[in-house]
Parts: sequence; C-alpha cells; structure tokens
Amino acid sequence: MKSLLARLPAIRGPLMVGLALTIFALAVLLPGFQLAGRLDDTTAALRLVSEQRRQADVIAAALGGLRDRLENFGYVDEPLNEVRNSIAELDALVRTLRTDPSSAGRFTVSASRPILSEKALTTDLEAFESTWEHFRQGLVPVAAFQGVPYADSESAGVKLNEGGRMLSNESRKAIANARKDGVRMTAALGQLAGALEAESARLSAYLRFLMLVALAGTLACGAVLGYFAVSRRRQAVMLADAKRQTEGILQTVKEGLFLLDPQGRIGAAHSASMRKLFKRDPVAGLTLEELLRPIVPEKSLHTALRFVEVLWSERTKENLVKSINPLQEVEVVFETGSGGQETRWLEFDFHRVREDGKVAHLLVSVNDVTARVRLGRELAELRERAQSQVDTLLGVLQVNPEQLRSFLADTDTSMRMINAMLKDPTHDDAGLRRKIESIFRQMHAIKGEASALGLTTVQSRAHDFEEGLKSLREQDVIGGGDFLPLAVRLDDLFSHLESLGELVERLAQQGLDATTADETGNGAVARAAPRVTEQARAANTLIDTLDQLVERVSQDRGKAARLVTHGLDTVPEPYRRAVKDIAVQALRNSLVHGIEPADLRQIGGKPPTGTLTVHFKDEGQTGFRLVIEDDGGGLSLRRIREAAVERGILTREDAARLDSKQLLPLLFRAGFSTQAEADGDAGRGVGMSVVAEIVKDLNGRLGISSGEGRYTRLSVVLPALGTVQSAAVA
Amino acid sequence: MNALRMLRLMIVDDSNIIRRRIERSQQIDRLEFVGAAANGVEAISLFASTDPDVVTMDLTMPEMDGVECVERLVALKPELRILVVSALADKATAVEAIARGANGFLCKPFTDRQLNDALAELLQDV
Amino acid sequence: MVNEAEIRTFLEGAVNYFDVSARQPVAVGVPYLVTTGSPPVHDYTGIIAVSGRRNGAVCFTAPRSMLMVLLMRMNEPDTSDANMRDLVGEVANTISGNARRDFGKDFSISVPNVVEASSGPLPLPRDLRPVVIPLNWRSHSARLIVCLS
Repeated sequence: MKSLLARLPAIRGPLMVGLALTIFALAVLLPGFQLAGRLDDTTAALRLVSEQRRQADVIAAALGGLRDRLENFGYVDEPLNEVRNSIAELDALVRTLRTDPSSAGRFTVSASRPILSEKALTTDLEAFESTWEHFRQGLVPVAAFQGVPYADSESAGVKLNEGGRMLSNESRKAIANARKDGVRMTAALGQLAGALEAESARLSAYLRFLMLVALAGTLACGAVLGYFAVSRRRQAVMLADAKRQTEGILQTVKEGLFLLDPQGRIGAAHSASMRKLFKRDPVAGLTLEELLRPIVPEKSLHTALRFVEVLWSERTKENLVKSINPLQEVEVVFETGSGGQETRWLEFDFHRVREDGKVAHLLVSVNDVTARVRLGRELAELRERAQSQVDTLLGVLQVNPEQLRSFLADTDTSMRMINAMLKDPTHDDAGLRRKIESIFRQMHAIKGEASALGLTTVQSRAHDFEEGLKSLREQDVIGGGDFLPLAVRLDDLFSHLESLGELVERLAQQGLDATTADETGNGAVARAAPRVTEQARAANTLIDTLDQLVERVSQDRGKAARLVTHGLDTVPEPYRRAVKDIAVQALRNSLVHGIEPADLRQIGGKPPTGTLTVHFKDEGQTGFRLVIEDDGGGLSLRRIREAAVERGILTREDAARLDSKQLLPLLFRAGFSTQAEADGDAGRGVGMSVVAEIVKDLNGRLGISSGEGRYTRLSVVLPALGTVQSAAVA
Repeated sequence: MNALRMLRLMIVDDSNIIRRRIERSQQIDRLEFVGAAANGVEAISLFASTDPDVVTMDLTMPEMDGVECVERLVALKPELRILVVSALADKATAVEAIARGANGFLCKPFTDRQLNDALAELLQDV
Repeated sequence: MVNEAEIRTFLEGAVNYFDVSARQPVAVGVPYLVTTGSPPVHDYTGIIAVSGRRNGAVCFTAPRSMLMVLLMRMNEPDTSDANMRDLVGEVANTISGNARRDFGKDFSISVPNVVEASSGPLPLPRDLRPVVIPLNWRSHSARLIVCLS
C-alpha cells in the first residue's frame, strides 16, 4: 500500500510525457495533414493548368484548318469539333479552379477552402479568366455554327451558302483574335502555372518545416522519456541502494528487530542478530511462542503471549501498554553445548505499526541487557547491604547499649542451645518433632525480644527461621536432611549477630555509646588506656563487656556487685570467644542465683557489695584454666533436687538419694533451670548448658563447686593450643 | 456524552492504608467515593449495591484475587473503568488483568500525583 | 556464609556413594553447626579443598569400624589401614566429582587428602562455623563437614 504511494511520482513523469506527446502530435500532425492535402490540391491544379497550356495553339490550328477547309469546300465538322472541345476544356479548367471543390468531387481534404483562394493565385486566375473570356467571345460564334456551309447548285457549282460565308467571316475574325488572345492566354496560363508552382513550393517548404518540428518534438519527447527512463533506473538503483542499506542495517545492528504479523509470525526482514540473541536459525516464520518456549519458563511465556494479545487489541492506549510491558527484563536460559546452562536477560520493546489507523504489525526490538541486569543486581545487593547496615545501625542506636549487649548475649546463648538441640542425636520421627517444637520455642523468644527492641534485621531472620520450622512441622515424614535449611539459617543468624556485636563495640569505642561514656568504672579506665597491643585491646573489650553486664544485671536485680578480673589479657585468640561466652553465662547466673541482695548479705555478715571474680591462667602443658567465682549464697542442693523432680529428670526418691557430686552436673543439662519464670537474664534453662556445650566443643573439662552460703565456683580447663592446631588455623 | 455526570468510585484493596490514600487523594472533581472492599468477594457484593463507574483494583488479595474480580466486574458492566493498582513485580498479573478488561495500571508504591494522573488518564474519554 | 544448595550437592555425593558402592542407603542426620573450636573427627578423614567462588574445605570423616564393614560389603578382604584410607579418599572423590558436575568452572576442587584423627584438628579456615551432617549407616556414624566461606 505504502510502497505504491511511494512509487506514484515515478509514474507521474512518463504519464505527463505521454499526454504532452499526444497534444504535440495533434498540434503538429493536424496542420501537417491539412497542408499535405493542400499541397496535393495545388499539385493537381498545376497539372491541370500545364495540360491546358497548349490549348491556345490547338485552337489556332483548328481555326486555320477550318479556314482551309472552307476555301476548298472541305468537311468542316472536324476543326469545329476541335474548337468546341478546346472551349469545353478551358471552361472546365476555370470551373475547376474557381468553384467549390466538393462539387467537383475532388480535393476533399481542403474541404473548406477553394483551391485558388490564395491571393496571388486569385490575381493570376482572374487574369487568365479575362483573357480566356475575351478569346472565348471570338470563338463562340464559330463554335455555334451548325449544319453545312456549302450550297451545291448545278449552276454555280459548289459555293459557300449564307451560313458558310458568315462562318468564314467569323473564323477569319477569330483567327485574327487568336493570334493576339492565344498568346495572351498562354501567357496567363504560364503565369498561373508559375504561381501554382510557387504555392506548391511554399507548401512543400511549410510541410518540411512541420516535419522538422515534428522531428524535433519527437526527439525532445524521446529525450524526456530517456530522462525518465534514466531517472527511473536511478530510482531503481536508489531503491536497491536503500534496500541494501536496510539490509546492511539489519545485518549489523546489535538489536534484534523483527515484525510480527497478525498471525503472530516473525517476518522475513529481521536483524541478523536475532539468530545470535535467540541462538536460532532460521528465525523468520516462527511464531513468538515458538521462539520463546525453549528459553523461558511457562509462566513468562504465558505472560508474554497475553501481553501481545493486549497489544493487538485497539482498546488499550499506548501509554498503558508501555507501562505494563512485562518483558523489559526477561530471563532466558539457553542450554549450552556442554550440557551447562547460560542465563541471559533480554529486553523486549513493542511498537504498534499502524496502517489505515489499524494495527497492522508489531515492531519488536530485543536487546541483550544481561550486563545491565547483572550490574543492577549487584548495585541492588550493595544498596541492600548498605541499607541493612544502616537499618541495623539505626536499630542499634535506638536500643540502650546495655540492653543490646544483654540481648546479644542471650540470643547467642539461645542459638547455641538451638544448635545443641540440632546436634542431639535423634533417630525417630517423634524425636525430630520434639526437636522442632523446642527449637521453635527458643527461636520465638529471640524473635519476640528482637521485635521488642526494634531490631528488625534480627526479627526478620528469626521469622524466616520460624517459617522454616513451620513448613518442616507440616511434612508427613521428616528426615535429618530436612533440617539443613535451618542449619544454614542458623549460621546466617550467628553471622548477623556477630556483626551486630562488632557494630556495638565499634560504637562504644567511638564514644557513641552514651551509657558507657558516662561511666568512670574499670571499663572506662581500661578503655582510656593506650592501646598497646591487639591482645590488650581485645582484653579491654572483653573486660568492658563483662563490666557492663555485671553493672546492668546487678542494677536490674537490685543487687550490688563488683567484678574483679585477672589474666584476661593473656587469653589466646582462639579462646577469646569461648572465654567471653562462658564468662557471660556464668556471671549472669552468679548475679541471678548466687549474689544475695545487700540486706541479706549484711545479715550474713558479708560486705553489702558482692564480688565476682574471673580468673584466667595459662598453665602450660595442662592448658588454660578459667575460674569464675562469686561470694554469694552458693548452690542450693534442695532446689536442684526440686527442679530435677519437677522436670521429670529424677524421681523424688532418686533425687533425695543423690549427693552433690551427682546432682551438680544436672545444672549443665539443656532445659534445666532452677528459676521458675523465664526472664531476660536467666531461667530459660539455657545458660549453664551452653557453657557445657562450649567446653565440650573445645575438648575441655568443666567443674562446679559450691560452699553453701559462701561461694559458687565454676572451673573450666581448656586444652593447650598444640602446634598442629596453630598451623591448622593459619 | 455528559461531561458533568458524577462518576462513582469503588476502591478494592486489602490494605487499609492504600484504601485510605486513594480515598483521600482523589482530586478529580467528577469522582464520588461510594465504597471500599477488601477482597474480590466483597467487591462483587459492594458493586451490586453501589453500581460504581470507576474501580481501583488491587491484584493480590485474599478470597478472590484481582484478576478474577476484574473479569467478573467487566462481565457485569462492560463500560466500567478499572484501574489496576499493583506492585511492579506483579506485571504478569497486571497484563492478565488488562487482557481481561482492566483499563489502566498504576504501579505501587505511587505518589498522589501519579494516582491522580492515572485516574485522569483512565477517565479521559468518559 | 554457607549455601544450602551447595551443601546439598556435597551431601548428595556422599549419599550416592553409599547407595551405589555399599548397596545400603545411609540415613542423613540432623545437621548442626560447629560454633566453637574445630569439628570433631573420626579415625579417617578425606578432605577436599575448595577455592574459587567459595573458599574452604569439605570433609568426610568416618570411624574405622564403619570403614571395615564397608570394605567387607564391597567384598574387599584386605582391611588394612591403607585400604581404609583409600576408601575414605574414594568417598571424598565421589563428593568432589558431584560438586564439579554441579558447580562447573566457578569452583576449583582439589583431589582428596586423607588425614588420621591422631594428626590433630582438621586444617579448616577459622572464623567459620562448619556445618556437620551426621551420616548414619547401620550402627555406625560418619560425618560430612562443610566449611566454606
């Protein structure tokens, strides 16, 4: 349709030439035709005139013959007839030259004009006519004679009769005239012939000129046609050029370009890169569905096809169509030859091509946006990480640092507990389900606390973990391997809490930690000390943490306590964390269960402020010894027995029978607590079991001793760091 | 064509916040809020009682999802104008909703201005 | 950060070995983390070092008793130490083969190195929490240890 319109100027040229040629032909050929007719007439007239030029002589001869015959009484009919004949011929000539040609039945071409209407000719004709008229008058009496001119009598013999005498007179007169008139008439005829000849020559010249004009016109038309032919050819060349250029573009353009027809098929003219983008050849003739099905998931394919349907429908506006294009980042997966897979992202753009206001085609452009998408994802990841750090930071800044520390320590404990639960060998389904329930309770508590503190990053992780547990719970059959996602999430939560802990420490070091900055206790002094070594710095951090813990928990509990530490600057790096974790749990336990309220202490004759001691010592071959002691009320065997019976660990009888050596290890069992209500510091039955877990992990030993009313002492021995291990952790 | 006719607006969204935002920010004089539904089922019954001309439609809702709801509403009233309000990640569903007769698309989250523009475009030739 | 899919690939390698070679499936226990110190090992441990997109090691550790039964099930009368080492190495090999298939060029996976428990803790990167997956077979228990950054 469009192409036809484009070709119209190309046919308009030759069309005009044809029209011009026709008009020109009519303008040249019609006069030419007329002219040719007139030339024909003139030639005919000239021939007639030439034929009659000798007529005067014929008449003179006839008159001479007549006179001779009359003298000898000869037979006169013959010369008379000749005269009559000549008169008729000349009359006919005049008539012919003068009269309307149609009546003569000739010269039909020059229908409207008498042949000798030309002025020059008319004069000559008139001159001839008048001489002839004059000549003719003398001849008419001769020609009019009828009968026999002689009288034959015996007496007189043969002699002229009256008529004969008159004829003789007339013929003499005619002969006399003929000498004069005959010459004049011959001259007039010659004149006329000359004029006709001149006219004929003029017409010939005119005709030749016309012919030349026609020739020139023809040549011009030829030239114009030639020009058009050339320009047509040039156009064809240009068209071919344009086609070549289009092809060139389609060959080299990186974009995939193609047209979709209403049947949904890809047109033949598509960019060569289509083959590369889709790793298909040929592409033309395929439907969009055939093109996409092997490389996109069913759902994306469905969406793409639905979208194309929407594009075809005239109902939707261009803006809307653009805004809902679901194919701006289509993930496509190609099988590579080696059995692997290659993932790329393609961007599809659709343009409706309208013809006569209706969507006739969809022009589709496809770009490989893999690099952009990858970059975008990396950026998003970075942004998310930065954002989550900011969130974390904001969350952390909003929380009271002490609360946060306590939360972190508690959560760490809970998570170790969870891990211990995972680790606890279980073989039957019921055991696994019990495991799920107890892990769920732990994690739920973490989530609750995190949300109370506004630590959304922790909360969301705890939530995900819970969701994992829920879906596990719904499974009909549970296997050990099904817990793998939980282990992975637990690891993530551990990492996250570690980074939170680091963040808190950094903030404290930079004085952002308002609470600790106000303090002037041990921690503050230690922090102010020059940071000699990394070891010392780590020890300071550890001491700070423990100080703050003691400060906070004792305040919360309405107790007075101070912390004394020894040798914490000698904790080797591999044990730092373990020492901290053990100390945190033990100190918290001591503050909650051991140290008595000030008034009770005074009654017992103790100083109102309780003392907590953390002692670390390198004992060489034996390893490292960590002793955590409080001067509190000691362990109550009675309460341990009660708790063991309550939790169904021991029967009342057994509990009564066991001595302290057998009862104390119960404290390290998971889920064992003498504290009835769970609260922030202890009572989840977690703390001491975590200590036991840590020590066991490190292949250490653990002991607990207590003097009722005097002290509780937790003693941990961690193995010496062998050369092997040192190398191993390098 | 009666340019002065008031158009009745129904909001279908399971989020209270979004519902209130749309209700509050619609500045097109011709719109008259007639009711809000929190899911597809509610929308169908509210439609019967209020006969709205314009609907904003969330796509992911409990009970009956937006796409199905669009289809039912269009079947009930073909000249109804439906603006799909949905997250960008949910374009596939938006396409489906458009294919089944919705007339516009507004991407969540949106500014008041975007909302008004989307409504204005939706009502361009009503 | 451990990745579940990656761990599954390693685990699948180990499980496969028991399915095919021992003709008796192994029961996968509940995985847990090693939060402190070095993961406990059995008598023999096959270690494959992983580098590239992730760095660390994957270990298969098994007690002598289990290896002996395994060898017997495979109709191998020679239950010498050397053969047990070989067997542990074999399992580790299967695991690394599985990983090579799944991870392709993103991972560089070493040939297995077999160590004995007596030579001390495993040479694993610190600061990571290895994931331990118990593998229970008959009355015996082996472990798969995945320790990747």
